[in-house]
Amino acid sequence: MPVDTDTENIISEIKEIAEDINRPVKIMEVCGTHTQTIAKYGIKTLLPENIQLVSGPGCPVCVTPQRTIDSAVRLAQNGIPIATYGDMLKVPGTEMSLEVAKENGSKVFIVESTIDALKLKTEYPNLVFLAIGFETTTPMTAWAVKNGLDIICAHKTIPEAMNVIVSNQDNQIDGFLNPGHVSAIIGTRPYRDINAPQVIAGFEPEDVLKSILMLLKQINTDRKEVENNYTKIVNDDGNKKARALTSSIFETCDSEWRGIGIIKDSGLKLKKQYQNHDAMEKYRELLKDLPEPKDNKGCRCADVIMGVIEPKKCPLFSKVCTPDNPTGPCMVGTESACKIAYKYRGDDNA
Amino acid sequence: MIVITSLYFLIHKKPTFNNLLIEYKIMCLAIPGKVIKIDDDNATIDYNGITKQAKITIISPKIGDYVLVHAGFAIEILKKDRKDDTI
Amino acid sequence: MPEKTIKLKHGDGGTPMSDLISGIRQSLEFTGDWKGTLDDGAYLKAGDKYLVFTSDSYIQSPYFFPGGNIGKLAVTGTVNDLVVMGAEPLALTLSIIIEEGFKKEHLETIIDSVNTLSKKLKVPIVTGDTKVMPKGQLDGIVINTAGIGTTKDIIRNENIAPTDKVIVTGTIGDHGGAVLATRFDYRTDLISDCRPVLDIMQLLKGKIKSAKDPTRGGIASCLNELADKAKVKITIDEETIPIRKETRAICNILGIDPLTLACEGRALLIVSEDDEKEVLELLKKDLCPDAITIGTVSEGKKVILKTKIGERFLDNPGGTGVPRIC
Repeated sequence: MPVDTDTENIISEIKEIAEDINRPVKIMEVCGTHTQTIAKYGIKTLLPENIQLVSGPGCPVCVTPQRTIDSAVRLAQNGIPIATYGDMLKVPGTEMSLEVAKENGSKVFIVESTIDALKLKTEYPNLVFLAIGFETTTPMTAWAVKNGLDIICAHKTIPEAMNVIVSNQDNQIDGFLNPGHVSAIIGTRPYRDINAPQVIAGFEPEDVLKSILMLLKQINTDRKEVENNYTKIVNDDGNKKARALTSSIFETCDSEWRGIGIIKDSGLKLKKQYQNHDAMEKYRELLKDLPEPKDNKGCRCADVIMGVIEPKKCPLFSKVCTPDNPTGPCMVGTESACKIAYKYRGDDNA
Repeated sequence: MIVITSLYFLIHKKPTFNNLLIEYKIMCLAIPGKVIKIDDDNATIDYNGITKQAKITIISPKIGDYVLVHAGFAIEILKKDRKDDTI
Repeated sequence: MPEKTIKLKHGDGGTPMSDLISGIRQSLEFTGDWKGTLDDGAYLKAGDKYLVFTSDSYIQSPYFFPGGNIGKLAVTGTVNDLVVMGAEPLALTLSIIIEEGFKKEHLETIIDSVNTLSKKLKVPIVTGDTKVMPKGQLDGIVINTAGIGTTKDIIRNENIAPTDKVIVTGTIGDHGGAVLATRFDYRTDLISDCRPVLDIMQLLKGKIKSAKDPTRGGIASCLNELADKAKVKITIDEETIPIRKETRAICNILGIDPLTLACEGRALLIVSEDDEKEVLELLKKDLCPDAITIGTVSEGKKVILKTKIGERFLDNPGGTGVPRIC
């Protein structure tokens, strides 16, 4: 039980309102870091039975298409050094992951930042960086491209994906915990067109609980607002400097989300004047005839990231698909729903 | 202690990216730290006794500000003077 | 083990490593009258005493780290494995494999550390081996130490029972934290906790039911091992676990659970409820001012972590992604 009286009060209030609502409620935490906090602190065990928390598509590892991995693998196999954030190393492509490519002798480097990637480029001039991530991470790539880094661009943006989820008639999501750091960059305005109750939440467990309470209050009174419960770093305008840097290098495009399909205007591509840093263009010949992506039988990653099911409902979860032997990307990233569920498995939290 | 630590940094072998890969690097996680030195668009950030440089390209902090750092860049200045473990 | 090749994860203290080790262990069929051959040290009845025998290899990278070097670690680690079994160390071996081009002054510093600690603990280095491999076929230096000791009573992991208390002798993860901070270029005053726990174990002789030294895999690994061997449930109160703020910081930055981070100078102790107060007093008086009870043993299974908000399982780390930590 929580030590803090405020938190105890919040939990009591959650129970009261849940009773009042008196029907199943599905709340989606968009961002994988929230999934982490929820699992790490056993938050699900404190919620009433009719309140279900599901994961969302806010995990770059989970939504990067196989084709992107395959492109990086193809380049690596052809002697082009690849730099990537650590989480991407084990994501299965159609034939293999970057980890396997590395084991087979290709140069694949793990970096903490695009700054490190640029440093590596002084040693390996034809280095290509696998640029994934959402609005928080895009400015870092923009800065690096400006300073000469070549990239495979797989950046995506969150609000459009949330819209797709809201318009999915088959799976009602009653409210969203919006990602904290993405919101620090984009502010609150991009969420206002999304027709659902939303609360921008911080990452401390107490903040997550308070945000859940705020959502339930909205749901109970039929409101659909964007509330900011992370005012410490999020304001309405977001970070203009960061967005300006991003938009000086990138422009919006349609983007493929693994398991979901193409979402209009949900991705970024390099502007014309920076096309010379686009590895997909530069190495067009090498990237011909990539393997046809295949669906892994039984893998339900797409349903997990769309909030249709919880990880343990996937038939492969922990039986066939484990972090050591992942079938799909959701079992790979530190922020991926299935990996988190597996890590904290053995109880009803995950 | 300072002498020992300096000596250590003089003689230890610099790790290569290849050998010491670490799969853990939570992408969305941003850590709060205090700006203790500024040098152009680089700042030295103190995270509760661990210090490292971060770029301040997209924010304009002052020395003493607490900032949130993500993937090598400071992304926001914290409004209150609070030091949580994570944010 | 499904893989056809050995991966790095097979060496970093989690489940894949346990699988590899038990695979190798099962393939070596002859154990004679020796017991405990999967423990920190194996033991053999010899007259009215037990002989305890242990061995460890050290591939620590970097081989110099804040608070010590691979030589100090090699003596500490093996002595600790003996003493947590209740044994008084009698002697150590020292086998070194060195890469061509390794600086002689570095080797001298490392041997000097071995010598200093051996004299201080009065544990002689009695035999060993030295090899040199061509440049590029080894990374710097690898050390193996084997240790032998004796005891009248073996401290067994299976002895623990419901109502027993779990005590940790100091802040956890200092070694792992210091090594990681330096690997990834974070400046810090954090230093490894690398030290032998011989004095701690001597102080508490007869008062503890079980002891482990949480190296690779940290206390998460040890607690799961204890819960599994003794078939009990261990509940840990997360808020009581002593962790230095620098260790927390580096864990947050790199996304690592501090409970899986290596210590090299701590003991995880299981004591009876009746002995808890006395043990804590003895520890805190001088040697371990940060010693604290962090949990309780009860009926059931697995390890539960009580967080400041709710509860969850604390699983055996499945490969921590922290290679060459010791």
